[in-house]
Amino acid sequence: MLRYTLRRVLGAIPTLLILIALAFFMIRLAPGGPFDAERALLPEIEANLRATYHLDEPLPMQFARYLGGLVRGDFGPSFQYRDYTVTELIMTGFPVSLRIGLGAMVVALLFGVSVGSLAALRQNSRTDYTVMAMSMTGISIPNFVMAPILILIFAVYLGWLPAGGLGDGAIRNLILPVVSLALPQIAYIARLTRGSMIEVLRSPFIRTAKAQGLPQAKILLRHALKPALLPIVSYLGPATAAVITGSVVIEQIFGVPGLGRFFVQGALNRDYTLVMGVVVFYGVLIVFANLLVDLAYAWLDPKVKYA
Amino acid sequence: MVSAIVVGSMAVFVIVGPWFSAFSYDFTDWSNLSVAPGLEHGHYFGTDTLGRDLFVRTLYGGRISLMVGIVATIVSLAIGISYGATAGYLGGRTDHIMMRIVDILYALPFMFLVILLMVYFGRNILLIFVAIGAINWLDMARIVRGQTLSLKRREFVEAAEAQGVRTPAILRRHIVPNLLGVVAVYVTLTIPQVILVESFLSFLGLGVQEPMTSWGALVKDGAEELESAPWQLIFPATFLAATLFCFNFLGDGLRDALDPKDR
Amino acid sequence: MSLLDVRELNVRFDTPDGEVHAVRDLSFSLARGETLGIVGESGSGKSQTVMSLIGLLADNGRADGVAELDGENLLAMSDAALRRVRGRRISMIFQDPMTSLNPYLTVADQMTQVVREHEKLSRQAARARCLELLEAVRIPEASERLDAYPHELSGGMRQRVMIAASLLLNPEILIADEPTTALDVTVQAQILDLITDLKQRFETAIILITHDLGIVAGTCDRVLVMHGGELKEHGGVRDIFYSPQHAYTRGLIAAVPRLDEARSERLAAVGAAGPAETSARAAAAAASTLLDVDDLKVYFRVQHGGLWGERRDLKAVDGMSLVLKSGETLGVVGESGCGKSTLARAIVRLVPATAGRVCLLGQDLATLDRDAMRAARRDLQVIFQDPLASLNPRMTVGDIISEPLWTHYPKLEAREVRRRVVDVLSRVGIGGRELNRYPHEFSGGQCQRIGIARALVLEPKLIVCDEPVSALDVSIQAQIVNLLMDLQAELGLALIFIAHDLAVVRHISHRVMVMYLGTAVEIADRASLYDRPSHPYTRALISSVPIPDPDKEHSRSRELLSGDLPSPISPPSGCRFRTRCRFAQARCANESPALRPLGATLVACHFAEELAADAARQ
Repeated sequence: MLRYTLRRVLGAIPTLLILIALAFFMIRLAPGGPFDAERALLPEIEANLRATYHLDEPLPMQFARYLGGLVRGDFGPSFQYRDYTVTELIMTGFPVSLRIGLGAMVVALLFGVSVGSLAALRQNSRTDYTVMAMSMTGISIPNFVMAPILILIFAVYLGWLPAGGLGDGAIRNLILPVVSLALPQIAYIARLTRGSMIEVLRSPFIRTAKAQGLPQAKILLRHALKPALLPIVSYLGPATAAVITGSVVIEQIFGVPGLGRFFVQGALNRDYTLVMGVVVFYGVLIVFANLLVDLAYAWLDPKVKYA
Repeated sequence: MVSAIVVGSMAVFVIVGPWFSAFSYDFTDWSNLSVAPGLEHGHYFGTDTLGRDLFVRTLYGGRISLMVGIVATIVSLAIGISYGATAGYLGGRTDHIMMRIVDILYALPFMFLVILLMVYFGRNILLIFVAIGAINWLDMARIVRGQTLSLKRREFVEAAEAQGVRTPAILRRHIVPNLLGVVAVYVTLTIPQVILVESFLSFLGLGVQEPMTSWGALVKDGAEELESAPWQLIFPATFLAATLFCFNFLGDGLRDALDPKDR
Repeated sequence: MSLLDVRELNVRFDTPDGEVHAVRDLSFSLARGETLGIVGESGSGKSQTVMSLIGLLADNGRADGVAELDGENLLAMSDAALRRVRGRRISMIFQDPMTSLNPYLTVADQMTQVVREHEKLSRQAARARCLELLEAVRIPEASERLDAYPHELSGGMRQRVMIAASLLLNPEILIADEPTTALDVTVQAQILDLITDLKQRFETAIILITHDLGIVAGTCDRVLVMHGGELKEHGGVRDIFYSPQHAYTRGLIAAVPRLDEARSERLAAVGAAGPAETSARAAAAAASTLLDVDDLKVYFRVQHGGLWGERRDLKAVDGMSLVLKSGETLGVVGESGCGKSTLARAIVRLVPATAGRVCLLGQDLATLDRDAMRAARRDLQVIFQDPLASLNPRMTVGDIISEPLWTHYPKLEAREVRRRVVDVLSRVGIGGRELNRYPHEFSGGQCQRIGIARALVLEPKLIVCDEPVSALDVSIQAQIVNLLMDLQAELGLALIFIAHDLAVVRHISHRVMVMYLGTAVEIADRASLYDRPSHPYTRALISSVPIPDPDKEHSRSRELLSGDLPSPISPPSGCRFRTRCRFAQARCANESPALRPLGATLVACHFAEELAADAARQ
């Protein structure tokens, strides 16, 4: 198990390097410099700025410098928020995003798995059809469409919940963002659970358990649940990526001061170091999530060998 | 079946529809800024804050969204099929390395890279096609490779080889026709994904630029006028969701028809 | 009074195509401690019968009638009551041991929860009971196996675990649904021997469902013969075999190729004896060498773990030589994993040979360039195991059979192609009207006929048949074997007939080769191989095959093999069979025996002469 873990961790390194390199060189190769957007600067001031940010060095040097910074947890200075480093900005925004993201994942898993299992157990019943129709709809409504609709209903018409902002950070401020972020995931996980549960319930070893006289509840818990949930475990990697991506729009819509919002602002303002910092940070997060999922899978499935 | 008809008529509608309206997509009707839907002033879906006809804009947005969907899918199809079929047919070490590359790329947060692209290289439609197509080929490559591998081991392909049938004929008569079904399914499932990505970008203001529009951009505008003019959100949102729903439903139905084991 | 009394049992399924009446008015009884066989081909309703007894029909199925267990009607019981019967009074083992155990739970987990469900026992006591049962089913190192996962056990071991689990609560009835169909013949013999032994020890009544009449003859007291959901005949095992009343039973018995009978001209009762035997054999004796395989080796590289994993060779075929004359049939037998299919594929060059030569009519196929190889393929055709999978689902039958003609005679006129296709189809018994239909519209037997037609259309000299009948029911199997024999007599074809069924091979072959782990252990003409097997493996193999004749079955002594097939990645040193051989000595571990003549037989055993002398003395 230890060797397996180590191999997996080492395997993630090339992915990270490629990600950082892609992001880095994409910026440097792009037409226009970071200071183009502002008023035309005097040449000497621009040269000065370039020197400050080491933009006058050859590309490989710059890349090496950036990598070195990353290892120390330093994402460089922000071009836009002159008084802050990117690291500081990330540390401000991330805890907020993390709360919403984790909340959405937990909600999605709880509801998705239970609703999906229910549909599988009552296959081809009215419950099943309703769940499937609703989840198909849920998958088809992007969360940036769902979020305004939820605001319209719950904040504007009913006035039950605040339309945006974090307020004092109370739970009621988080409900709408978490729900709109979770809904497509609930829908997807429900479909996934239903499919794999139906397949497991049809497998010969479930028939064996029935022939041995085990009661339905035990068959479900002891025999069916684990194999049925394995596909969900492997979906958790892509789900993390989807939730992170989704949080970018959701934070925008609800005006939540999270990392996603910094990202969009940075993107619109051409704040290169900030955008890149966030991409690298999220990239690491996603790669890490995939790694955890792989390890969890290996731990759950006796057939995966740790060789 | 119903979904196929809805998707088809949606396509016809967004192409033909604008002719039935008196307005063009960027015409500003100063006398009717942000009016609610109605027949009397000719704005069937109302107008936006700039007085532009929402009916026409929704349909134009639909053209862009569907076009992005189809073109980017073709891009991903082209890359995915050639990559996947090569890996699958050659097999062995080449296959191993090619698929390892796909694994690495798979772990990248592509949405962010596309956003980076958009930020740095300016926002033009062509780039959107290419960028989105470039993300989605990964899935296609995996599926095509898997299918090719399993087809290659099927006994009727072996039988043809034992018969001495030439490789091009094996590909033409035995591999490709049996690959088509699966590819068709994934095409119908890729189109909505691509439309979703495009509207996501447009929603962030990184996609299609004014005065052109797409469903994502319209939803963004609508979301801003949520409280005063909900129709600005509802019409494009409905069109978007309905299209995605139909494509997903269609793809799902096709997949079940192809693989009866899943139901 | 009987233990189980079934009267007027009907099983019906609601399907989108209407109601399917799977079992009709079936009545039978089962006495304590007896073994009842239910025999039938696929679709006869034999499995559905027992499934309905313990309430495990699929959701769209329902059963009516009466099935009394000690006077209580099983079909009218509540779910809860029925659940207490399952596992405790009636237990069941299934066909496929690979999938019938939960892959995510250890053996101990799966077994103890059955015990603890039905009896109040502590964890330790339950575990002790499980261990006791694992030892009873003769699992070596049983206490270690308890904590193993199913995928860590071989197929035979898993079926033993299934049997142990089913006997945990000492049930009155054990239902075994095709318990050995997925296993190799030597393992099947071990399992059947075990079941018979346990039946006496636990005094359990057994319902044995099978398609194999040989198994019935050896293990059952009474037999039900089912066909199309109806009971055709019912009686003691000797009555069924020696004086079958119903035409279907007689047909079934006649259709089974028998290990203890020589090549009869045709299987089943249809038709008179043809001249196939004598003329073909005479031709074979005089004929020239058609195929000469010399020291053929086929290795596959297998990887252990990822891109940088260790690479080793899987020696699927490791140094095999054989000679085939035109018009001759060579049978190739061996258990799964012995490399017989790889041998077939290497001969027709579907997999590349690692070393050695395959010469067809004196031409070394490996030296031919593409075009010459393509030309050589006209003489060299192949038939596969799975009839449906070997036909492209998107081509019509006409196109499938025309394809070889298009490839080899591209200038042939469309009308001539069609004429030849219709001609060859009628030869295999399929009408010309079926040309435009697709493979899935045909039954398995018809699909195999189409596969044969495709192989015949180029008028080859040699057809390699890779398990051509193992996916088919007994009666269909007989038709296909007859067809191949007729075609051989008419066209002077040479056949390499690969199968795991020794009786079928005996029926169709002139000479037989026995394979074990990638090597030939014995090659001999049919009579000597079956009557005086020289290699210990051949002897064990032959004695493992059940004979559909109760008296013979009960009087013969078996040579049971112990253990399972070793991995072909790291085969045993020296003689590969030594780990399972009763006669193995130190020399066998060091020295690999070569194939050498012993009388008319070729055999690869250091002690062949001694063994032959021993056998002669007895």
